Amino acid sequence: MKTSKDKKALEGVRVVDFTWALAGPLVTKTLGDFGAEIIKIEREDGEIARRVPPFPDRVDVNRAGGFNNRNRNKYGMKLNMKDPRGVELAKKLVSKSHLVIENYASGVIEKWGLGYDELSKIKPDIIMTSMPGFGHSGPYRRNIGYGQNLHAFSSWFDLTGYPDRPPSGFSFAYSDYIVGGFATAITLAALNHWKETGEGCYIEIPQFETLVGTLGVTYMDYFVNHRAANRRGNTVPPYVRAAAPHGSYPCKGEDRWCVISVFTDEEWKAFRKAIGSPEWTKEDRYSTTLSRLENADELDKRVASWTREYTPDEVMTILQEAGVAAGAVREIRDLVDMDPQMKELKFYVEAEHPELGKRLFENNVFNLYETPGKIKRGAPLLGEHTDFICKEILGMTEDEINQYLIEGVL
Amino acid sequence: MPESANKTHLLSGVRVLEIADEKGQYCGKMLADLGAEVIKIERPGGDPSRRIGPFFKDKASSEDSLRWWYHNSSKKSITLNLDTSDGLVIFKKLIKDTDILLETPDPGKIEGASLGYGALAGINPRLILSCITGFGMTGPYRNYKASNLVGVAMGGMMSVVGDADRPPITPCGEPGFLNVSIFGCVATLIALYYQKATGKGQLVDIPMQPCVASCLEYTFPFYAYLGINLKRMGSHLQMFGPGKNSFCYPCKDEGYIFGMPAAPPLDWMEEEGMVEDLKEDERLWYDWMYRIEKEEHINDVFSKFIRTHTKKEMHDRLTKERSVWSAVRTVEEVANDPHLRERDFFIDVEHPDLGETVRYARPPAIINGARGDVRPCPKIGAHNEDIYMGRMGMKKEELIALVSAGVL
Repeated sequence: MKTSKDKKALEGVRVVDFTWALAGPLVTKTLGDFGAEIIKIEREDGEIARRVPPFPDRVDVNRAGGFNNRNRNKYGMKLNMKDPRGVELAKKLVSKSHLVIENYASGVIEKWGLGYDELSKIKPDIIMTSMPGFGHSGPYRRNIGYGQNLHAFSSWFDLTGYPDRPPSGFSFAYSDYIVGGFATAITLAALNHWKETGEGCYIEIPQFETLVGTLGVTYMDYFVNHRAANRRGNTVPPYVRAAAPHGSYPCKGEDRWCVISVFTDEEWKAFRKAIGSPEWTKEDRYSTTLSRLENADELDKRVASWTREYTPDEVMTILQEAGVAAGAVREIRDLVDMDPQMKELKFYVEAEHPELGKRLFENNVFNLYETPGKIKRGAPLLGEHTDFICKEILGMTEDEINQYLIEGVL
Repeated sequence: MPESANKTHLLSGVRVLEIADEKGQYCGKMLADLGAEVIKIERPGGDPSRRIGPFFKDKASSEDSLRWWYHNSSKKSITLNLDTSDGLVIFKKLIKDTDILLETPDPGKIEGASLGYGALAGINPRLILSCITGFGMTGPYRNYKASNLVGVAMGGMMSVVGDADRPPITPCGEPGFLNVSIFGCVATLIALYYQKATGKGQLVDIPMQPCVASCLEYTFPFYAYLGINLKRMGSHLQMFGPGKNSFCYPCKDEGYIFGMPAAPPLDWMEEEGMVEDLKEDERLWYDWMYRIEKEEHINDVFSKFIRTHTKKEMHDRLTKERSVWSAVRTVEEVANDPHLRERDFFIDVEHPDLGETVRYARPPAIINGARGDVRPCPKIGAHNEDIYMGRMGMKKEELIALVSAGVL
């Protein structure tokens, strides 16, 4: 008998995965963790992320760390889409599946003859999700949409930084996670709709618009109040809400920081008491919400003079115990090696990869008590499961498979 | 409602109750945008987060928050005081035909989120209880307070955002709340699929800290595979390893260009005699280790070239050439973007009470070719009569009695 921990929410769902790089693979990562069967289709030399560092020792398509992390649990199949027989095999696979996910530029998958119009002829209830950078229409539809240039294009980059400096922007492709998460949610909504009605559908997730949509309030403020937001560090603008002290503050140690958010008078009083009610906290200029906002720069210096005496964790503990929102600025090594909450949530877990051996993975970010997610194995080697898929799902004979291998279809 | 908007309502028929502060409202909005019936339960007098701005024409009132409007559009609103015994009786009745209860329980009340999952499942075994919190429902930090800033710091994101010689900062747009809301929606819809298959609900725990930590691209693998603890370095990309040069370059005028050292517009640079050796040294563009060695030089050549052009000149030509370089665009530029206009992304929504329209960003997903609609958010308790009288059969006098008793 299956225990509750073996139950998989998405058991029986098969996904043909034409994704590459980051945003797309994140969608199939989550679906796979919760029990969907993911068949990742790659070209002869593998997708681009297989060539991006870090590599533990040597550059090799089967040894990329980032790729391993986000492609765990998936089957890997090589398929040459330039050969019409490759396209036929892909179609056959789709006819036996529920979902197709892809994140090529607009028009690529259509050129192969695998657009939704074609696929829905073979499998009328197929659900297909595409994530074109700028959507399938409009003057920028052919532009390349990487996370990095989308940050710049969507105003995210300009809005991230210090008011007295050029924008800081991003060192990592944050936008891919937002787009990937968003696309996962909409795809799951379509899967629920299919379960209810038996109908498939085509989903277009324009990445650029998804990013602008996350700043919906900023844009309403622009349209209604004609206020164009600018970057402002960690400061909350007074036209949004009263927040002081609010920001990151230096702590004991080299380049160590904490954050503090005080919104209400009640929280200010708790803060003052928690830090031992030093004389300066009794000054008139810090006594009311408005006076704290007015003297925020001075206040920040005062707060920093206190935080500097403590480690980030000490600041967090002292203030949280007093009911003030505060935290440590965690670095990655803190999260992986030390943070007790991340340990409790089992966010970093080990799994086996056929070449890399036992490795650490980022687990699911949420816990479904009845049907938890699971990492069974690492990412597939390039073409690792080609043979298995051809036999078990496509029903090909050994001879057929060998012929296709020799002729470069697989 | 136009037929086309209906096509985007993949979740029509799904019933959601939402008791959510600013952490989880975007999650409820995603469900509402997809056509689920999302009924917000507000305390009598309205939810405190209605007081967060910015406000419509800067009119600071609970009914005029643009932040609230955007995050609660297409939902319904009822009032209910869950600290009263009448309120609890009504709540239990509401739970009976609810698919999803979306909550952001306050720290200290996490174990007993509303009534606790066990009690609620006793009333309705199909119920999915999705709890969005700062740190989760178990563990040493479960009762810690989490602002957006605290979530972004504790999830490690701040340690990789900002300039190395300045304090760590949060990216724009409340990334802590945004991430936990999006993942909250994903988690809830996985649970909904299981519910449809088996008739069983479950408890779903969605903490902000790991949601943020999972969005840091190469931060984790560089540490796990090489022991490198990446930190903030402006817009120097992680995939090129630790470095100091930001990839943001000032133009001839006041704008900036994001010029990543991959696939630069070398032909254009050559045309203007500014390419130096970047074209002949092909190794730069396929050997990333070699490129890291030469980074200072590349940076220098890019910088000189970009300085000779205005942002508009650069933007026009980069767009035409489909380059991965991009202008760093401002809010004003995006708000007036011709691409978004042609694609009908911003929509003017009629607010009947104002007698005006307000421009919103639409739900981004396009489903079967149709764009989603935006229905203006309800006033406090706007659906009390619909739900309590229409659906639950309460009499008018009862409703009045409960309002005057502070229950509704």
